[in-house]
Amino acid sequence: MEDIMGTMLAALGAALAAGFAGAGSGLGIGVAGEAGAGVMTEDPKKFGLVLLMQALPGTQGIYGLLAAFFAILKVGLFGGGDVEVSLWQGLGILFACLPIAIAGFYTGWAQGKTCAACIHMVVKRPEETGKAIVLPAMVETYAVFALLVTIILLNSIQL
Amino acid sequence: MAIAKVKKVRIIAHRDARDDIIGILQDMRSCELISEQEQGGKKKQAGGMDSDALQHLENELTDLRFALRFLESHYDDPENAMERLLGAKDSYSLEELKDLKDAADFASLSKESRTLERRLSQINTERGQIASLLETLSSIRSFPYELSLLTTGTERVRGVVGTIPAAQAEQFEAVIEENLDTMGECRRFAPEEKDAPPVVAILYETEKAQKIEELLGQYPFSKVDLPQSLSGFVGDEEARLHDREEALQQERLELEERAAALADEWVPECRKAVDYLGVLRDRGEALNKAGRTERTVAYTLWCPADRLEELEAAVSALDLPTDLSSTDPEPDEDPPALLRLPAYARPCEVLTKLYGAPHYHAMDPTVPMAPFFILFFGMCLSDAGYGVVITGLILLLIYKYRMEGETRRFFNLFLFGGVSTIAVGILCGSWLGNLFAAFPFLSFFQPVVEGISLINPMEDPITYLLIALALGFVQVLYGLGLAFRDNWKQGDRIAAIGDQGGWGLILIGILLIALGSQGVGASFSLLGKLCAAFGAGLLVATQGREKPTLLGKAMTGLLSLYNVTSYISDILSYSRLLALGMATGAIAMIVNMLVTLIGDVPYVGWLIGLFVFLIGHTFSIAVNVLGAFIHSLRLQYVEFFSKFYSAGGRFMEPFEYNTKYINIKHNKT
Repeated sequence: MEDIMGTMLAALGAALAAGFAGAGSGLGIGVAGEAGAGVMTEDPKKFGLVLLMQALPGTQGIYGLLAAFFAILKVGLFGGGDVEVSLWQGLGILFACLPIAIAGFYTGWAQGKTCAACIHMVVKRPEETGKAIVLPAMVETYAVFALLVTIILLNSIQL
Repeated sequence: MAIAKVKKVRIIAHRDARDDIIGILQDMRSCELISEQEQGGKKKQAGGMDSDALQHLENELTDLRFALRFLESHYDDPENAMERLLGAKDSYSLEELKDLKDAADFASLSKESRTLERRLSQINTERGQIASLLETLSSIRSFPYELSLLTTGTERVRGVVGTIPAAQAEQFEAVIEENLDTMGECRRFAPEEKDAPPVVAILYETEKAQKIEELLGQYPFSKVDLPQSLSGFVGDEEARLHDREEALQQERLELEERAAALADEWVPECRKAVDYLGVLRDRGEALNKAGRTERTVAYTLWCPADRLEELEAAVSALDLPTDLSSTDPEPDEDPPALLRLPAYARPCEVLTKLYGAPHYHAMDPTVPMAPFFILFFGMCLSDAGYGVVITGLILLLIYKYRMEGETRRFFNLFLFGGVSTIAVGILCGSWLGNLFAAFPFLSFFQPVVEGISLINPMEDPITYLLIALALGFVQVLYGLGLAFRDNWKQGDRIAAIGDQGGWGLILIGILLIALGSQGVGASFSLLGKLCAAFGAGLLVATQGREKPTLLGKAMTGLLSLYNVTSYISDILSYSRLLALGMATGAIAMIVNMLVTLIGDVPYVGWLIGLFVFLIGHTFSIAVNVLGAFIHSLRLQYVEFFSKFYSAGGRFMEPFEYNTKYINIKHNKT
């Protein structure tokens, strides 16, 4: 039992990263989608632009997925299976997954709200599309940083 | 200088030359007209074309646009929408267009289009009515009498049809029947659809009308209106309506055929004419911007300095007397900005446009930004395979659709980005992730790929991170340098030395200290400390220079040092280059891994695997290109521009041929 504890803790980390970051993206895309649907009742031609804006909060989910894959690969759950993971190493991997899990959840949600506001802006002032795409990217910065820390931590835990 | 010098030009000419001059200006496509009202000039009469003529032109244009829109909906365009959007347009001279416009009778085309459109919409309305009547009739198909009983009634009997909720139908029927005499009748028809409410037809004596209406009011009976034109038996009426419907359908087909024939014949011509009229309308409006006296007209305009000679030559070649004078813009004037960029920076002009135009007297950020943007785009994608796909796709589009102008420049941006991605990808040894390592049958390429790669961000992320931060350091320092130069040139040397010099020294000092602590040498460390201390001293001394009191100066100076956090975070922000670069590689790896897992499935595995491979990598390219674009752009806007660039100007809007479907040839060529 104790010899697989480390691996299972790593699995928990992977699950949290993919789950929470994915949930954040889901919330964000949902909020942005609501705004987009409202806008398109007035002007269905905006579909392409609205879809692009709605997709922006989707990256957190991808980052979470990425971190999860890294963790799974690291402890050899994908097959191979010969990797020894001690309890403490497993705990370390779990901790390493937390930045993207937490930041992914909240930034995904917040980015969705920004996107929703920007969708409204684009409809009233189509000439400002460039700015509307950059504002949500300001939020995403912190998801990128969290992913960075997750990757660096995963990378520096020696098995 | 990337912002072109402009001259303010004033042309005074004989009235009769007004159209010629407008023609010259429009043909040059590079001057911006200033309206006399904006000039604050005396309120003069509108300058040329009288408003009736302009109004007439507007009406003609509106009519023709309507006709074009109608005909296009029936037009089988030989070019698809993509080609029209991206492709090059054909060129015509204004003379050719004038002949074309005069030769054709566009007025009657507009008229016929309008008639066709109106008749088609009438037919649609009538068909809708017929459909709903047929539906009603089908629900009372077993009604045994002539429908005129229900619609008009006779002297002694009237009728009504309506629906009643199924639950109350029986009770309702019983109550009505109780109140009817022998002449009356209540018939319930079973609904055709399961949940539809039953339809009830009631015939009653005229003298009972009041009583019946009262009863109807007590139940949720909703009356169905039948038009009086329905008079025969249900079956006959249905047959009549079907005939009518068929006739309408026939007519619609004929009209549409006619419209398609018209469209085939006219759409290409009509497009040219719409553009031609648009050009004339623009001229008319431009003429209104000019000032005029009884004999002369006066135009004021911004002309790029390098086109001035051409303008002078063209104007003085006119037979009528003209006078052209030009001056440099005054410091308090706000001339439009016009960018003159080297070829490698031109695709990035659109990025400057997105942020906001530079001020005429300020600096243009496009040239300093271009190499960084293109490099960062490559670093964020950092996969040679994806780079090849993007570059190939863009080249294909550019040559297939013979793109030109603005569209071409926008695609060039991604073309440059694609090439940069290939370069970074080769250095990182990333080809569709780990393509050559993941699939055994490709593994003989692996040594080659590894041989030419310098760094693997997956295995050595710290080195890649340091490269990213170093680039950030360089760009932030470069931004400070640009601001330094600008302040110095403007004569504000205290700001140059204090603001930019101080921060520059601190940043360099911090770098030297960091290098020193990595064991490069103690002298570095000492030099760094001196450098940073001197920079900090400069800041403390200068940052409070606006404050009136000595204490205020000192406090503001000291507090300004706190800004060091913002510089540090600016540089750390460049670490996203690593994160996004790794994300691309990792997503590609995941796709490859899924493919190898699925590939082991017997018989169909390779097929599903191929499918997953294509879909997965397409998705990955789409997501990562979006990310690479947005984040490289953000580094320019937030980290780089904030050091030296404030928008707030406006771009020149030259008076030119504003056409949608065709290009206009230059007059003299």
